[in-house]
Amino acid sequence: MSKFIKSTAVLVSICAVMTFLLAVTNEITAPIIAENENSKANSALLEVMPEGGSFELIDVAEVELPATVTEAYRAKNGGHVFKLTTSGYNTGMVLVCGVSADGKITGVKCIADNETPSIGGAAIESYAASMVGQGIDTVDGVDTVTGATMTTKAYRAAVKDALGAAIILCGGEADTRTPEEIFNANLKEALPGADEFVKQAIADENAAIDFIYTAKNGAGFVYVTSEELFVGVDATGIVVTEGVSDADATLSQSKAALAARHIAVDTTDSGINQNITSVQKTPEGNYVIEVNGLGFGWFGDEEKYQKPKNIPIKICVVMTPAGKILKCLTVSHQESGGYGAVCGDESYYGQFDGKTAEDYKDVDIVGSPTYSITNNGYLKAIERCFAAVEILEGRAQS
Amino acid sequence: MKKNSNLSVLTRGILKENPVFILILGTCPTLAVTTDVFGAFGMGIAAMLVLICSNVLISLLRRVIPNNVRIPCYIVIIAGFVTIVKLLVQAYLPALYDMLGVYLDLITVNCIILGRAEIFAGKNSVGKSALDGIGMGVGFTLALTAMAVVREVLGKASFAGIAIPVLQSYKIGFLATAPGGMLVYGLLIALVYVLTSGKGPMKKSFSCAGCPSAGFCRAGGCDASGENADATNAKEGA
Repeated sequence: MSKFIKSTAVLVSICAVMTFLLAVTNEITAPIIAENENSKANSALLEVMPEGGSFELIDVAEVELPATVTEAYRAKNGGHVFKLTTSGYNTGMVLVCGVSADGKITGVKCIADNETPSIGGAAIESYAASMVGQGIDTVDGVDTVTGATMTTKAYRAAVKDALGAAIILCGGEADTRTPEEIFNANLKEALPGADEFVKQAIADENAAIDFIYTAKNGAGFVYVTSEELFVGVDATGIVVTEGVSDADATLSQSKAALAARHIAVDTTDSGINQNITSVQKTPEGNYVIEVNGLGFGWFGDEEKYQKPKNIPIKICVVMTPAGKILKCLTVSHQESGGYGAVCGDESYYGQFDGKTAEDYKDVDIVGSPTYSITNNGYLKAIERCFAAVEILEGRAQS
Repeated sequence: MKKNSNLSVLTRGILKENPVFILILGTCPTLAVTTDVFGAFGMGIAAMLVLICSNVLISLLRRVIPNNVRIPCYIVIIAGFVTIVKLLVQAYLPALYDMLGVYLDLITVNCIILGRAEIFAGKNSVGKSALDGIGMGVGFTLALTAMAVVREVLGKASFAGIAIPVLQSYKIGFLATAPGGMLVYGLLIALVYVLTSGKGPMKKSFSCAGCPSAGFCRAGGCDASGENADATNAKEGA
């Protein structure tokens, strides 16, 4: 009996010890094995997104994704991988497409197709490489493969669907517009009221301006800066784009846009005051006048404040031929802070908008330059603009 | 050389008592996983690890394990180590795991391991059992690798998965198949027999002392027939 008990005890002990060892080993290896299994199952996914880590199938029933998307996976690194079914020359082209978290293609792999092997099939193989790195705004720029247009067009459209689906899954709206459509939308946003735009040649090659588009219905024009800023300028030469302040549309850019569009008026020997530095005429017939206001920065009080002299208030005035101010803007000045410097605020120069020679002096200057030199200089400059228009329109003699 | 010196224990498994070619043990993995050098080598190492661990543990417990439950005890120990090795391979060498597949689990019933437990570790000191495990493991690994080199190079014109361009047109596909494995196995046994000048222990020379079934054998032992006298002498002489 004791032999029986001993045998049992030994066997049970050995079993217990081995079980313990197994449990320890399992504890260590289980997570690694699970990861291995996962990565093996997702090798196709990993191929299109090597940085993906592990992948998790997303239930796409709840979300409205493009019809080509049949399966969607979320990668550990925040990207997505999509299985897409589309038709090229024949039906049944299945692509696996990886989209990174920032909306760029990480890789595309065709896992099944019925394309003509020597034509579409060959194109598929070479086409995948050109897709890597494309985003939804650039993917349309990838050229189709000559001779395999149907295959590569469908391929490209499917990849674009994947990009769109990724945006939807990231919580955004898919922007499936073409680059041209986006560009046109930006133009219209910059200049409300415009219908169609005509691209205008830029006579003056200025690096700050990429394009100028003039509205067909005469609503104004939009210029696009090299920083992709769309600035709409209405028929009167006023920046109307919401969110774009005069500061954004810097003088050099505005000037360049205007110079490319406006006709410079020759003021030599016309009798126009010398403080008017330039006059341009817009296609609509309005005058854009740059004038120097001789304020405190010009006269100064050399002994008292050591003010620099010969620094005028640069003012830009847009005026109709009839002599009405459409827009007045202080471009630069060096008046004393707290005093004449108020002339640089829109609250001051904005008051001149819509004024004529009769009523411009009625502007409310409460809270405006109390320092009379600045104020007087400014008003004098405006007055010179009215006089200039009178001369240019032939209504007055110099 | 003394029969049971440490050196002899270590080295005899390599050629003189090679488990595969002389003792004809572990033929299942020998035929199954020797179509690829990498798989064969991996299998050899895995089996060697199990063999060393089980030999050491069984030798440690040889005075504790009662005779009547020794086989279940051995099996539990061996199966435990096999599973540990399997988990480790699965975690850290997934490529090898995929290649070996079910044969990795089948190390449990590899006759070499249970055979060495029964023949050697159950009766010898821990140190000697460990050396025996190493020797037999190395012998097993070498045998498997040798088989695999022949079968893979000639049968698949590649080595450890790397194609050998020169041989591509001359590969003998038959050698990579199971019957081809049998043929290579037979030829290698013959070669090893020649190399050892037939001095290795013959099957019969294990005698009752080395027979795993001796404890239950009711025939009075193979020796009773008197056939083994010469062979036993040959073994002693070796």
